[in-house]
Amino acid sequence: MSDEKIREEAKKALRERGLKCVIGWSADGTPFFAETEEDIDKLSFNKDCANNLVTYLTTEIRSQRGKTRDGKDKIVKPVGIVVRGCDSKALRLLLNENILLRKEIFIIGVPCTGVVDKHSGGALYKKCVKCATRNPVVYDVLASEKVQEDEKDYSEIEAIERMSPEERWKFWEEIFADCIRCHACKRACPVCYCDECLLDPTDVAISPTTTADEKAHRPRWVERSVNVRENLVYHLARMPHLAGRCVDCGECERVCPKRLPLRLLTAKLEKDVKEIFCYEAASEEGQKPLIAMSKMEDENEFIM
Amino acid sequence: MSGSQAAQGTEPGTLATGSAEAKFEPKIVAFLCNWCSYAGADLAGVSRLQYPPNIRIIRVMCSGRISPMLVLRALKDGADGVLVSGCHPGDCHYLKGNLYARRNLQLLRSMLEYYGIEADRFQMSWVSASEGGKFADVVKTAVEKVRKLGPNTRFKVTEDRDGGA
Repeated sequence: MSDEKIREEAKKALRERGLKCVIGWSADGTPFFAETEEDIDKLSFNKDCANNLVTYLTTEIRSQRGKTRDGKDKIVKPVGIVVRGCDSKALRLLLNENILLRKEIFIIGVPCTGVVDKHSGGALYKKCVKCATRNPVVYDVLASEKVQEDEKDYSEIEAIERMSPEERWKFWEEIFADCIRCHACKRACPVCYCDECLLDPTDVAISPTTTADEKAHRPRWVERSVNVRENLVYHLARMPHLAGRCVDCGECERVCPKRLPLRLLTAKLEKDVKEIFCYEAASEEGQKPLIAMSKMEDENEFIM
Repeated sequence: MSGSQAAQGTEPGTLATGSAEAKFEPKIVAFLCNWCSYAGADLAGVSRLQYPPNIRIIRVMCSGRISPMLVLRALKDGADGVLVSGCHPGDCHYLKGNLYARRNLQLLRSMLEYYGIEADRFQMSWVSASEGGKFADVVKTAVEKVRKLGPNTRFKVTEDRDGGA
């Protein structure tokens, strides 16, 4: 039912809006870029469609940007995308941050009742069991009826908060000892879009004109060696960058090859942001970023 | 090989010589803003107020410049504690820099705590240019708190934990 609607709308948009492609999932849940009407017939949405496609959308649109030889902006062909509720929040955040423009995207929203973790033998992803963003928040067309949403559940976070500092450290130390710092979490994150990442020294663009001096003076905030200290700093440093931006889509946790519970970190951040600043990432259109705002009456208690 | 290198390269938190714990003297990196806190520290000096010599001052133009990365870098590279000090809210030379710092760093502090790193390793204060006495007190309190926590071990590379990695 929703498959047919997705295909119908995608075809219509491809014809009428001149889309470059429609990014969606194929029936087995792998991401799929449909460029022709025959391709679009392969688009589908079911419980195996776990990837957040917004990351691909950003790459796709940005690859089209740039200047022509006579210095004009290149024309960006609009791109279609199929999004679930959580993906659409990431999309809205990117729109709010002007990384993507609304006119460049055609959005087909699919209300979602949860997707299945293939590694756990058919159980839903943890983020999907109790989900407050099942329905897309920004879309051009909806592929099916909206579904019931749940209250956000922070009980796991609260359990960790109740531990003593030593217990907490033990808990995290084990996790960080496992991390191999493959950077999959930040690569897959839809809101981590910087070309050069300060947490990944191999990420820094080096052109033929980069001098040895410039290379030598690049700050190395995190060393490349993998040990608990560097891993800890890596996972700590990601947090301020995601403050008020993480939409809890769970991509980091999903792509982690070591299956580390990374959402325990981002959900805590989300909870803090909500409790301390009454702010929720991408909760409205045109919202200002959390750390680009300030208020005289912010909490001051922790300061001497 | 790399393990032993790393262990040699980092020797956090040990100013002390001789028997370890009794003589533990914390190393604290203090980021002071140019307009208020640094002047406050100067006043404390000029007024000949005594405060512990455990802090290493880095002057920055505004507390709003302190990115969480700087705090993490200090802790990672062996500081036992970090102190960030700026103008009182409303007094910032750049109007709102300290307010931005407060937002940013409060989240960092909360995350540090969540990771099981003692929150007192990272402290913040507002000290104006006329508060030499307050600066001395702030440093005393900060050093005492960190002394109580002991050396910064969470960020240390150790042989048994990181082995051959």
